[in-house]
Amino acid sequence: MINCEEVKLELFDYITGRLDPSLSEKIKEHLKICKDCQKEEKELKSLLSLLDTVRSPEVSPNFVQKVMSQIESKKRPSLTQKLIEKTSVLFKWPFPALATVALLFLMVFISYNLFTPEKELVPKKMEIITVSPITITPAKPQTVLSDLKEVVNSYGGKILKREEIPQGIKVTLRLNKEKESSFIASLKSLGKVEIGKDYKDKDGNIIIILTKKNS
Amino acid sequence: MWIMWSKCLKQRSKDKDEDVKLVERAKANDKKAFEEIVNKYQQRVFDLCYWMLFCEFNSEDAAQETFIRAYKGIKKFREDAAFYTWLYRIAINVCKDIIKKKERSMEKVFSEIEKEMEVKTEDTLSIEEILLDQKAVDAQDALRKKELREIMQRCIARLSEQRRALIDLIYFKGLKYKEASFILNLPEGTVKSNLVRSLQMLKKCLEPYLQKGEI
Repeated sequence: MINCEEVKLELFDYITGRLDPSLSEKIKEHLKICKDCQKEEKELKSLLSLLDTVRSPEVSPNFVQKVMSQIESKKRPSLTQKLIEKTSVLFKWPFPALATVALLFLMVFISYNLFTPEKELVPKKMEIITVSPITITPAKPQTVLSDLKEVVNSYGGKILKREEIPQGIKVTLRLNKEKESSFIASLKSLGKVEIGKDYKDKDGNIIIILTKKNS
Repeated sequence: MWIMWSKCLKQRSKDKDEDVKLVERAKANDKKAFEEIVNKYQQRVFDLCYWMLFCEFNSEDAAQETFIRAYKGIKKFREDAAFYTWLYRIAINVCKDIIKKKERSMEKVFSEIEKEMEVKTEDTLSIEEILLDQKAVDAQDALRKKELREIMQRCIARLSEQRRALIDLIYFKGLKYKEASFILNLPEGTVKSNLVRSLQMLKKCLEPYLQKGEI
């Protein structure tokens, strides 16, 4: 005989047909007589059918192309690799080659110090190169641009640039920093919103992508 | 409804046969073969990343990175494991790296904003969504279904990333516990008990709805 605890442990495997026939038969017999386990089975089935509704979104249509082009670009030898290839002479005749390189460095160093006027050292401004924007998959693609414009206006912001990109439309906008979080919260009314890690460009403007894909 | 185990077994056996030939060609630098691999597994890898990260934007990046790492390391792949288990293991590691980076970055601030969004915005349903839901008898039914789906999503979000990945691997992909144990680097017994616990947690989270018979 099989007890309730054992049945509960195997219920998922039983429902999804993973069990061997003999154990499956034992559970089936137990379920006929046990009200508690019947309830468990019913609830688990409901849970699994609800789980079925939470499917992940479709991968973007040009995914394969993106991967292959990235592989292609990484396969091409980089500038440093080319330089290493060209300087392989260093490894064949190390002493004369190193002496020549050292002499060249010395000459460049001396001429630089003799002929260049002194400059103040100013630290370069850091730039955030990667921007992962806010992405909106619009509920109503036809009117999403005008709807977004309305939302931006209502928060006292301004759309600076609008451009077509492969994923959809890229919108650059400026907004008062204090109103930012409530503005982002209100974007949900336009469709499905994904917030990127760095949604601002180096000038502090917000970048939004209105995707073509309608979920 | 739920994926039946026998159907999954047949699909996986077909996958294994196809993969052996494709991987062999890819190992011999046949780029077309690798492209076929990407094409075949793009959605499955993306799904796994989506369940692990629960974010569409990062999932696509993670899936791309998975294939790039797979391309670089394909010559090291030994045929003692099924190719897809090796590929999924790479995906898990890529996602773990992303999670680590996220923890170090400002992501926590954004998740706070997202929580705020959930509280502030009302749950609305567009006309298109209502019309698209074929099963809905009327708008109210569709609204209720959408509401339940969103509750389910919130409950899933409470699970750890590893447990979410487990649901995708075992329930949606129909993998064996042994395969999931290799992919997640966990003992087989832990995989099964974690799955049972995850389902119990989801059931507890949805208890009020399951008891009312709303699902």
